[in-house]
Amino acid sequence: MDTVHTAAFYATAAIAIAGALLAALARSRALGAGGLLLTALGAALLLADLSAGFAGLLVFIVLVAGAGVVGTAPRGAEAASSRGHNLAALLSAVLFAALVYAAYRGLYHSAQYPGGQFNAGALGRLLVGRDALAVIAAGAATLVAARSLDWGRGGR
Amino acid sequence: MTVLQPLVAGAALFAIGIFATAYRRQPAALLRGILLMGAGAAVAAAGASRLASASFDPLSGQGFAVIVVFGSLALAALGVGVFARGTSR
Repeated sequence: MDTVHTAAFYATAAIAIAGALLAALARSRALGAGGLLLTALGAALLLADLSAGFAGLLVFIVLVAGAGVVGTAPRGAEAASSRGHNLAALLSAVLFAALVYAAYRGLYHSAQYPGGQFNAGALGRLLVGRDALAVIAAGAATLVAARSLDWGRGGR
Repeated sequence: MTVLQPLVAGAALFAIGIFATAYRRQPAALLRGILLMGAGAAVAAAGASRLASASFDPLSGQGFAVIVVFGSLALAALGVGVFARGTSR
């Protein structure tokens, strides 16, 4: 990839990671939702830079919808952090280190990318044609989850 | 740019999502972590698809990214429903 793409990649990755940190650490709902929206923007631009424009658009829509859905979660008092929570936070750092090590040590096939920049048609053919069962499963899961939102508000 | 950079960016988003889910005990913050994990997996899959996929199948990673992010939305919505049901009783 050329220099412009690489620079755009680093800029959008920084936006996505900054938004994720904000979403993870924010104590107020508004800040958390703002962090998630920033992550949605950064991840969508990142995917667009990786020649996955349509996937980036879908990820943006889904993350924005997710920010709206999570914003309706009930307010619960935050329990005081215990030793277990601190250990879990440390283990997430260990997981990150392990993933980076695996990525660094991995052997990857390097290939020329023959696809386009947006890929809406090709991705649609792939999802509806070859991976139809996975798409149906994802759609069914989304439908069940949407129904659970109503169930959670006291519906039957 | 190699495939390493998208994988590291995806791993960072995924690990931050794990951190939010494991460390925070507030429902909204916890559920935001699930969405962050989905976004991280999507970035890693799309990066592998762009920079290290076989030439005859360059879009599988992008398809996987879309399905994973929809799955994370479904999980987060299910979590909101369960939390809301628990507090409404």
